[in-house]
Amino acid sequence: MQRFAARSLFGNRAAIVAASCFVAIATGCRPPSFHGTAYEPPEVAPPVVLHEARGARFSLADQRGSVVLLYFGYTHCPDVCPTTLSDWKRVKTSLGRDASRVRFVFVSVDPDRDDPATLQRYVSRFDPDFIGATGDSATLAGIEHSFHVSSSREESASASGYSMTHPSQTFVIDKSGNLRLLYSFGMQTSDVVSDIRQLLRGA
Amino acid sequence: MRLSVTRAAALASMLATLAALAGCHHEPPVSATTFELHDAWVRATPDSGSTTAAYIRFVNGTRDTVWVSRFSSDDASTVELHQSADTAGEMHMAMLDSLAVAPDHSLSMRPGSYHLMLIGTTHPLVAGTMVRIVMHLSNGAVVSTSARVRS
Repeated sequence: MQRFAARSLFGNRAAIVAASCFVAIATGCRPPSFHGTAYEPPEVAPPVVLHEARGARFSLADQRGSVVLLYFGYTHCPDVCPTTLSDWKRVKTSLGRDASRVRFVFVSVDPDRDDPATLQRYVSRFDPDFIGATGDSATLAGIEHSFHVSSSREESASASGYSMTHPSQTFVIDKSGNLRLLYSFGMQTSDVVSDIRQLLRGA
Repeated sequence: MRLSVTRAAALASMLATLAALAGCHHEPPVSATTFELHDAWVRATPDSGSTTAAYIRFVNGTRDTVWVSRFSSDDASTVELHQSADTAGEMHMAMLDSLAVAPDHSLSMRPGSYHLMLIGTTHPLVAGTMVRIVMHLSNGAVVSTSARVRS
């Protein structure tokens, strides 16, 4: 009899644990699991103050409440930058209405060639809501340093002139201004969409 | 039809390439007996005078390594061969003279790797249209492919 009671108690405990786990998962208490490379723990994103190609001042600190995707590239980049911006366009389309709470920021590290008009035309090719931003070389170098990346000019015999070596990753900053995720080149749209939705829900 | 000979330096290579026209592109690459060009595409650009990238899959069904070089197109003032490479999060780009495709192997150009740069587009490249790209092979043949423009 006692043995039966003990088993019954164990069964009840197991049920309670299982129910608790289910509630925790359903209510989002589970630690977030991302497809991108996560900053563990999240880091406060460094300040980014640049000029938008449209003329306004861009500050990362002003984007609180939105998830920000940030990439360092240049408009003479024919291969990886357009590929990344096309990936972003697919992400934005897949996000639907949620895209209104996401900022897509393409930072040009080639201020000598990327004047505001050139930069704006370039990002608008992909989506009119994409933000092109740049600054002087010293400002850009400081921002890149704070993100632990760098870019440099590579002389080339190409008819398109010099190329820029630049970071290949997309950085993701959450609604509270924390650096949360990194995507290497060739991100999967569905992965990024899933991660952004988690961040928008407050993960 | 994805492959055509525009000018052949040797009759043998012309005949070999014409064999590819007989519909071999539906067969797996290993069954190819000639050098073939497949799946070519170009990224659209709304501006003339701009730079964009093109990608081709090369299938070498011959017994020899084939080097591909001297690319050109009527739709751009210059076509160059480049390679992007991601080294520990840094993206580099290098210009190359030629691309070697090993015997019985295929080589796919793709974003973040080998690509063609179309520099100085002569007109906007609109999605759905075609761009002809011409190139020289080390066996003496001059071949071309029609690349579909994609947004």
